Amino acid sequence: MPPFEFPKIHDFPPFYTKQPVRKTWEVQRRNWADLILSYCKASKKFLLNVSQDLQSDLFNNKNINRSLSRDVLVEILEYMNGEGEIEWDTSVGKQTQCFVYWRKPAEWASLIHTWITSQGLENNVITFFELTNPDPDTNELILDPNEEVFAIHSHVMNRALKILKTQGKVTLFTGSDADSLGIKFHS
Amino acid sequence: MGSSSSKHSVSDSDKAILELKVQRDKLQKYQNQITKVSQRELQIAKLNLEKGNKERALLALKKKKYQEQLISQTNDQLLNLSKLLQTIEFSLIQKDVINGLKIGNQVLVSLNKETNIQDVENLLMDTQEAIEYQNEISELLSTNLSPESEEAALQDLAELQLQLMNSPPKNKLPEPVINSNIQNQNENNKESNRVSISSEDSKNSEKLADMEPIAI
Repeated sequence: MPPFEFPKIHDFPPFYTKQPVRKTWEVQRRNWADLILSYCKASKKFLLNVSQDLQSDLFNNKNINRSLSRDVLVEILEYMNGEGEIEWDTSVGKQTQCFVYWRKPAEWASLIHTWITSQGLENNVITFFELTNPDPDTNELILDPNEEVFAIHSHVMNRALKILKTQGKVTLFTGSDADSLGIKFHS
Repeated sequence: MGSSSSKHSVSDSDKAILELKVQRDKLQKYQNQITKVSQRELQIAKLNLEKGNKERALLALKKKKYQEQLISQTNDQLLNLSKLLQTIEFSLIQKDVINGLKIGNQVLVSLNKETNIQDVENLLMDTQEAIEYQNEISELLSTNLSPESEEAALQDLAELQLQLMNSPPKNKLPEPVINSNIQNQNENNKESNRVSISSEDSKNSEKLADMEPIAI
């Protein structure tokens, strides 16, 4: 995978300080949101951990010796949550980590369904493990012909499956083992 | 959506397939785990060799060998499971095919019931009659139009004409003597006489012309 090319604004020092003027701040947080989304998309990153990722290149620019503060990042993430671009992971503490929806769950749902029909897998029983653990030798899950095989985070997969269920495109059932989720797709 | 939910219901075979696939996933996970462990054993062996601890290195390598055996065993089991799964899935499709054949057969039988044999016989007989009638017409038409019969007709005509020429015209009976007509009749006769004479004259002159050189 080629290294992510940061946009020019990443080298702009004021970008790392919350701007006092409201209109400027609105543009600034939108720019940060776009940067987070494209960065995560390029690295196929589904989960963003606030403490851990604050140390990453995304929020640190050693060239200009600037980094984003935790408070500002949380504020940006709260804004993105309102836009449906992230979802806080409620299984851990408040505002510690979130799922980044560089593709909205509904987009994932339609991509998965398209892939299943293209493989002729409708009405076959598929396990959740199969869907979330693509094996290039057997059941590679190529959701986009331009992208390589990668695993979708199980939480995101669950969200997509719930959307498909409400559309009547999927039947979900469990076996004797409550953890084992069986999925049956319908065209 | 009630119909679609019943159509999309989960059958017992679906559940059985799920159980098998879950087992396969578990084997797959186990294999992934053991592959990692076995790779770590190799590293441990290398480290111990560097330290000069030969026995430890050998132990790690033995463990690695054993884990490799396990991996190949899980491979065999995975193969068996996937074979079984494919057989089940194929049998399910076969079941659908047989079901389809059954439905097709039922339709065929009910369609055959609808077409009564008596009706078909009547229909065929009617058709036969119509065909015969048609044949009769065309036979009639073709006899009238056949070249032989046309020739025969022409021959008949020629014979009739011959007969007419040979036999004295019966219709030229002596005309009834009617006074008013006598004059006309006479005039006509005169004229015809004159014509005949003139034609005789020309013939005579021709004869004369022919004869002249002989006279000289």
